[in-house]
Amino acid sequence: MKPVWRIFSSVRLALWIILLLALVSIAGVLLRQMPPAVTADPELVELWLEQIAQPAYGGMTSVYNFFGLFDVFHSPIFLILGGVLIINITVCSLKRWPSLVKIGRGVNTDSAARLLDKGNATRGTSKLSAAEATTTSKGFFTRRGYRVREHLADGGTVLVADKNRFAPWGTYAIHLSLILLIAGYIFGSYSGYTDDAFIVVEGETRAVGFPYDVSIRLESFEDEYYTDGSPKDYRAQVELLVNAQVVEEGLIRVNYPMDYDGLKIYQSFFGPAVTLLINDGEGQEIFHGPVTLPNPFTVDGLSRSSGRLDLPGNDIFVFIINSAGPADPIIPPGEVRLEFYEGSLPESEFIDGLNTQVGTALEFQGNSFTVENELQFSGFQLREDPGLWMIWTAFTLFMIGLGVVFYYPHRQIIIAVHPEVKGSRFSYNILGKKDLNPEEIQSFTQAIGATGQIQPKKLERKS
Amino acid sequence: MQAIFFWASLLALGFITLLLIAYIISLRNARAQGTGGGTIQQILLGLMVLVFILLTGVIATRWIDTGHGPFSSMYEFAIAFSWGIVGLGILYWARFRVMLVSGASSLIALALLAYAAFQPSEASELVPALQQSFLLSTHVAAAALSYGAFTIGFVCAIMFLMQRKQVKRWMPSPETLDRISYHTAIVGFPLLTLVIILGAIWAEYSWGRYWAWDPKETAALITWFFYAAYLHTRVLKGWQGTRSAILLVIAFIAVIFTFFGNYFFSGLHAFEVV
Repeated sequence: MKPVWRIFSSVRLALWIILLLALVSIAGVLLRQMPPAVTADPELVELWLEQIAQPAYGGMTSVYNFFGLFDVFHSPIFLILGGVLIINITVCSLKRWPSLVKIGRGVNTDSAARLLDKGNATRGTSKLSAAEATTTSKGFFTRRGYRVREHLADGGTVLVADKNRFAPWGTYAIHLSLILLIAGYIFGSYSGYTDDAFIVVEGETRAVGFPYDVSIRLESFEDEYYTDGSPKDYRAQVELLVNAQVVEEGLIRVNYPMDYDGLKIYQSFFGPAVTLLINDGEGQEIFHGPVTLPNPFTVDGLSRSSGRLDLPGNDIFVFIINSAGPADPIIPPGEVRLEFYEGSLPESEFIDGLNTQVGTALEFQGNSFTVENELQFSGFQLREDPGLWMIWTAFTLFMIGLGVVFYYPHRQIIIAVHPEVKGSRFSYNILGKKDLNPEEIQSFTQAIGATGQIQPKKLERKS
Repeated sequence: MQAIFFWASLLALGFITLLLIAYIISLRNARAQGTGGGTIQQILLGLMVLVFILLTGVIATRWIDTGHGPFSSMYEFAIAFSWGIVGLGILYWARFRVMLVSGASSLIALALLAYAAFQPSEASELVPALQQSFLLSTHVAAAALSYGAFTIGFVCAIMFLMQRKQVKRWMPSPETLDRISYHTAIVGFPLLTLVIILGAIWAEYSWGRYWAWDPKETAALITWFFYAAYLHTRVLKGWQGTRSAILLVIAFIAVIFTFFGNYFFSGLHAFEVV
């Protein structure tokens, strides 16, 4: 057990894991990553590898895929490294606990004199008497916010001065925040609710579904553009209904989500839609409702959108394509094109393609198709993340921890003052991080009127 | 007005470069360490203050023109980055009185401004996702300052490595360079953390997810990892000197990679698609 403990309590291990995580993350930046919708479906993964990865990475595709580099942040490598880092952080924190408790108490005044005798102290003399040097030393450190404790030993006075003695606990706050961050991520992922593409057409009401009893009605959707054509605003006027009663209404825009009982509704995407009525030869209604056209495509510089509808009762489906605008020579504004196919993709067979005026019926194989009107749809993201408070707490803890560790560093100094025939002699030993603020030590030696060659100890550079 | 401020900043940074050469010659000719070039040092400091004022002028006038902070194009962010370098260069001079470090950092500010001069400077309108003035302005301001601190740390690390084999009398002592570079990391790292946190809050606010593994945010995380590694080894393992300096250089390469990432990353931070 001890070797395992030693391995996981090693700072060197933490360093290597951090660097390896950085390296693995670089792959996540440089290589194209599969969208979440693709990773959820093995067939789509195969298609993605063939159509996206293969042309870009050629023969390396299978190698990258083997190591999970096309979905790095969910790959076993990343998850194992992250898991080991968490264990490492936890073990390091447990290991440091006793020493932090000790630091919090401060060095025992009895043992302080022994620490000075160990030979690591800087020594000097002062013209001040021992009493004056002691008082000056106490005053110097007290004014600078140190806690000063005094102890009489071997005919002299030993002072133990420490400052920010609880600051090393800042590292605990940092480590705890990292654990909390991961816990919050996992908790939010497994117990939260996510729907990235909740589409509602203007005038339509759609139930969010289990576990929510709320429905969203899209009153209207507007997209606004600057004169240079770049998007200015997307806004959806919505009503939230429970049991057909409006419980909330308002505007949802990018950066302005709507919150209902923990469920947040974000404006995410939008597109054209039509209301389609299909009657059979006897006038019986076989379909009547909105059809979204969520798939944009560009041909000869003209951007159109399409949506698909499977006709009930046979093997035919129809693509509904909107106009690209006034410059569209094939589908003029005010018209919609219906393309009929038989079979299923990708082996489907084109049967016919016809334009239809909005509001006018079009006959095809004995059925009549009427595009009643052109609308917009709004795509919302629905999210509830119960782990979010843990994330924000982790961030706050992390910043507090960083602030405490870096800006309120723990300092501890032991000073012994002994009387001499002329003046006094003194010695001091800085404990802890010895490279901190040598100017302060210089000021201290000046304050007590040090004579001779006394200098703050130079830190040996490790290289 | 904005163009005048911009070109005047560029010109002043050009003068800083020339004066820096004169300053180095003066330091090399001086008998004792750090004694040469007193007057040049004062002029350099004056010029740096002038550049800082001019760059503040560029940002302020542009903010008035566009109604938003410098975050919608590489041109704007290069100016903000330069502003961060020069501003922190002045502060670090005030703290450590090492003009060679602050002056040399200004050369990177000059390179960034020269780069900005070749970028399209037309102000673009903000797409809906970027219309979150407070979070985005603080996000970018923190980024400019943290990158500024890291630039100074990088300059110190380079000088330290130059001093490694043979200590040059005209350069700051290795101990001083090591101390300044550590200081830049403890300033820059919390700021970079803040950049990531503010970005996460904003992303949660805009898209409902605080982290999306967007390439640029991942690149920022990688940068963060490198500085975390530097601080970890320094604070807990007592690393100083060469190993630390090399880590700082690598970390700064990650900063540059993240900064220019907008060119080759797709995703939420790619200016051409947001």
